[in-house]
Parts: sequence; structure tokens; C-alpha cells
Amino acid sequence: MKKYLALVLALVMLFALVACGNEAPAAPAAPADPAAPAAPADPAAPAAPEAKTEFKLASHNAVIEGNPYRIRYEADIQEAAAAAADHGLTVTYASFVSNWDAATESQQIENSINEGYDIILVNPVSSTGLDPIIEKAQDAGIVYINADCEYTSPDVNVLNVCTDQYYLGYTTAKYAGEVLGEGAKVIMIAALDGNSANTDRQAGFEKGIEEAGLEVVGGQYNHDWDAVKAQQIMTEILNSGLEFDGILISQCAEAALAAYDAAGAAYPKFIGFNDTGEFMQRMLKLNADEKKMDFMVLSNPPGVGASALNFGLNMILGKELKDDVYTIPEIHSIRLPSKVAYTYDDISNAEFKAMAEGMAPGDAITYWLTIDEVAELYFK
Amino acid sequence: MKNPSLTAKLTFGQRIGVFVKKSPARMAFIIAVFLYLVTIAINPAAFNASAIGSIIMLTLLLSFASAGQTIVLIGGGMDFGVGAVMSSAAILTTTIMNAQDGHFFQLLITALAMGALVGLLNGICSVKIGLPPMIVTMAIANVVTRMQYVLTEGSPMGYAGPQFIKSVTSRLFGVQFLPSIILYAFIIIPLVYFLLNRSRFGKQVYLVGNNPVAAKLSGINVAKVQVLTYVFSGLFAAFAGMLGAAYMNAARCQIFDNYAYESLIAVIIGGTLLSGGVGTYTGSIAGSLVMVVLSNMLTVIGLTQPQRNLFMGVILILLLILYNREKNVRQ
Repeated sequence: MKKYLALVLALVMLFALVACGNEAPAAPAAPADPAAPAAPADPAAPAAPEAKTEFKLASHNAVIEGNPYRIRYEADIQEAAAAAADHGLTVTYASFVSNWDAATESQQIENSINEGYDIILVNPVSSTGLDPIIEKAQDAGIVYINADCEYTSPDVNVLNVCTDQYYLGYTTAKYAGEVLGEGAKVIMIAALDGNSANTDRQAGFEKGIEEAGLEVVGGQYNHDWDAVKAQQIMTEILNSGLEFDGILISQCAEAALAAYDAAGAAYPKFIGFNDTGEFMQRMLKLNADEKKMDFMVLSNPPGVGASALNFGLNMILGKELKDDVYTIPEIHSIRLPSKVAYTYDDISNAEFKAMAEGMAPGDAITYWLTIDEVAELYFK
Repeated sequence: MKNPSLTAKLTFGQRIGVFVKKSPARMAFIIAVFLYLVTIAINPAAFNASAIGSIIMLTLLLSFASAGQTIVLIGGGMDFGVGAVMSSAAILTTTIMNAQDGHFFQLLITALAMGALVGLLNGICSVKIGLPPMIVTMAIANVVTRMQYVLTEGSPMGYAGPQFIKSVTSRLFGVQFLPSIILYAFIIIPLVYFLLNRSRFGKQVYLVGNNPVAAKLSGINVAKVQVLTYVFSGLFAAFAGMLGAAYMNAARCQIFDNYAYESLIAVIIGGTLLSGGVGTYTGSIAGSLVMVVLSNMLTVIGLTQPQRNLFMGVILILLLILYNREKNVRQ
């Protein structure tokens, strides 16, 4: 019997190893996540020897498992690395996950420096605390780029490549104002307090709410980018009997609408924003015959990491950034604008329908800037 | 059996203490009612049929997930794999149904088989091999979770079937406080009651959890009973995951992982001892109700998420201290 048990245990361990060995599979993901800072200094990043066409890329992430956005983020980086072959570049990719442990992250980045990686992409645990490591990488001639979340230390010259989160909140609130009218009541369901993406997004929401003259009612709600929590919070808001006209939500909008379905409640006049297949499919279905609810779809692409890689490849090829490319010059941050936006006005838009119907429910809209697009837009 | 002369000597506070210790399930129901009354006092609009229906729905969903956890805990084990099994079952639900009706039995067999297999693995590793249940169930849950990503590439497809969604989320006879998930409760609750209170297996579970050595000396196959508790946990978690998918419409990897902890807390609030041998499913249902009503109250108050987490933590710790339960049976 013990032999069988030992065999079972060995199989389990083997199974676990095989499972763990599979890095984040490609596939779209969902909610926008935050995290992250840091990256290389100015454009002046170190250039590789002219003849060199093979580069080693290390992608460091605070977390992958359990976060569909980060899974897609890594998958997009892999695809962008493979696509570099079109430019005669061979980019080999390795992924490291610190599981939100800053000490592990530092150690892993240090190892990447010692192992001679050419490009280090970091979606970090926190927005400060990596200054010595960044300087060490830059001294070693490595292109170090901070992707997705900003590294906010002003003491190092590191490039940040992130999505413009402020724009997402601001645009949604302004559009809600157009739809609902001045003085309309809305509830605000934020993502994760303390997260830099959420902070920027909330700043945008607040500005838009102020300019549109909307009134936020109820308390402060958060879903922490957790669909189950979003549905539960929305259920509890409905339970409270609170009256409002629209919902401003930092993604997870489909879960909020599922709470309406479960409660049998009448839909609000507006909800936004979100970027998943499920949300877009719901909007298409709901508004198929007549207008039931206006909405806002905005992209917060996980492909931002792949875009950051293409910044790195341009830098490693010796190109220099333009002088006025920084959105936040103090921390050398380039905030990439959201490229995809849909509202009820697009309900018959073939492009919108094709995109919505082609996505899995949990997929988020993703894309990235190619090497050429980055070169044209941001480099001299 | 009450001892009138002894009871008469107790002060009011002591009587409360005895009640709390001896009747945790009733205590949990009282706390839930008290919390809901506080909610209504703060915001009278919170008292409405739809709200009651939503509370019942969320309570039942959590209590279904807690059913297996209750059996495992009474049997002296612990299962942190409930959430992973639920998430996997939810993914199976949306994948197999793919927004179509007519695949229910195919789904039921597949999901239950998956749940039973994971439960069996948990049982073998924790009972037969003797690994710590908390560690091994978490480890196996991690493998199950990884499989979700590997098999779906992180992006599960499809939706639950429309009729299946209706069977969980619609209202019976159009009455707002009667969610149709109650129909499933008519199956699950009697089944768990039968298992725990009317079957030989149930009696053996209590005996094994209370004193495994005595149980073994009584001729009970302790290992078999304990492994079966994990299998039942997997089965109930899988079924809860199916219903959860209908409630959410769609599924994601790890979507119900938090239920591993929530089910455990609900079971403990309901009076089941972590050390085994003591507990009831009624208590677990009451514990689930406390969790749901408490969360509802904190939302009505409008606390921020960190404040909610703080409040929730403090209140739950207070409840656990209040029970202050210890195992009385000498091993």
C-alpha cells in the first residue's frame, strides 16, 4: 500500500512541477492592475554593440497567477519578443515572479543583472525601493524599463512606460455627465485602494465628476479587481435601497450587472468603464432591440508591457527618445493613451461587434505599439 | 440535560456564556438578526424584499460551499481546497454549457467527478500519508488552480446555460425574497443532515473527530471515514461551484478561491470545532448568514474597503473569542 501511496505522491509532485513549469499561458485577461514602477533612465540608455542582434530579455513581475491582466501582459511580451524577428532581432525571454515580495524581487533582478540580460522589464512590487538595483543595471549597460506601473523615485533616471490611467477615469466620468446630465446621481466603485493605477484613475474620475456636475451618492466602494467581490458589493448597494442614475466603476462592470440580474432590479442609465469580452457582449445583447443602457468601453491594454519592450529594443539599437515625450517628466514617465473607446453610439458599429464577439468573456482588449510605431512616435 | 439547581445558581452573564458555548448555531442566528436590525436602523431603506432575497441567495451559496468543510472539520480535518474546486467546477460549467441549455447532467457528472477526485487526493495525502491537512490541501489546491490556467490558457470560455442561471437567480413565484436557489437547498440541506445525523457514516465522523483512538478501538476504519469526508467536501464544493457559475454567469480562473477561507470562517462561526468532533450544519448555515449580513451592513454604512476589512476582522475575532471553545474529551 505504501508503495502505491509513494507513487501517488510522486505523481502529484511531478504534476505540480509540470504545472508550475508552465509560465503564464497566453490569453487575454481582464482587469487592469496596478503595480509598478521603474525603469531605465532617459533615452540615454546603453546601446548594444552594432553587430549584436541577439538579446536576452528578463521580465520581472510582482504576480502572474490569479491575475488575468498580468497573464496577458506576459503573453503579449512573449509575442512582441517573437515579433522582433521581423526586424532581424532574436529576443530570448525569461519571466520571474516575486509574488509581491520586494526582497525576492530585488534578488531576482540582481540575478538577471549578473546573468547578463540585455533588457530588464519590471512590473514592480512597489513604486520605490529599487534605486540601487536600477543604478547597478544601468552601470552594467542593461536597458532597464519600468512597465505598467510607475516607479516614482525621482532619484534615478529610469523610463516608465504605462497606460494613462487618469484618462480612463476622466473620460468615463465626463461621458457619464453627457449621458446623465448635470446633477445626476452616481455611485463610484473603485478598484484597489493604494494601488497606483487606481489612484490615478480615481483622480481622473474625480476631475470628470466635478466638471460634469455629477453627484456621488453612497459610500466609498471597492472591488479590488475581484469579480465576485464586485458582484457582492453591487448586490449590497442594491440591498441598501440607494437611488442613483449611473454607475462609475473601475472595471468589473459585468459583475455589477450580474448583480442586477440576480436581484431582478432595473438597470441604471449608464455604466462604465470596462474592457472585457463579457461586458461588451452583454451590452450588445442588452441593447440589441432598443436602447436600455448607455455604457463606456475603454481599453487598458495588458500589452503595455510589450510596448515597453519595444521601447527597450529601440533604445538598445541606439536610438534616442525625443525631448518632449514624457507625460510626467519628473519621473520620466510616458503614459500611453487608451486607443479603443466604445459607447452606445457604437452599438451598430461592425468593428465593435466583431471585437466583442471574438473575445472570450474574461478577455480584455489588448494591443501594443510595434517597434516601428514606438520609433516613430517617441524616438528621434 | 439541564440541571435546574445548577442553572438557578448561575448569574445572567454566566447563563449567556453557557448559551453561547452550548448553542453557537442559535447564537449565530441571533447575531445575524441583530446585525440586520442594526443595518435597518442605520438605513431603513435596507429593509426590502429584494434585499432579503439577495441575502438568502448569498447565504445559501456560501452554506453549500461550507457543507463539505463542516463534515471535514467535524471529522478532524481541514480543507483549504474548497475554493479551488469551486473555481474549477465553475469553469467546467461555463465551458461545457457554453451558454446552452441541455448539458446539465453531463456537467453534473464531470464536475462531481472532478470534485471527488480532488477530495480523494486530499484525503489520501492528509490521512493515509499523514501530511498536515492545512498544508497538503493548500498544495493540492495550488495544483488544481494551475490546471485551470494550463487547460484554459487563463481565459475560460462560455457562459452558464440560461435556464441554469434562471434556476439559481430568478425569484420563485415572482416573490422577491424567494430566490430560486432555495430549490437546491431542498436537496443539499436534507442530504447533509442525513449524512451527519441519520447515517452510520455521520456517527462515525463525529466519533472519529472527537477521539480517533477510541473510534479505532471501537472498530471504525478511521482512515476510510476521514478520506470520505474529504471526498464529500470535494463533491459539495464542486456543486457549489456550478451554482456559483450560474450566479456569476461566467467564470474566471480562481474566481471562487476566497470561498476556501469564507467557508472555513462560516463553519467556525457556526460552532464547529477546529479540533473536530463537534459541530452542526445548522451552525454553518447560521455562520454563513452572519458573514453575508455583516458584509451587507458594512456596505450600507459605506465604509471603505480597508475599513470594511478591519471591521470584519475585528468582529470575526470577537465572535471566535466569544465562543472560546476547547475540546473537552480526553484523548
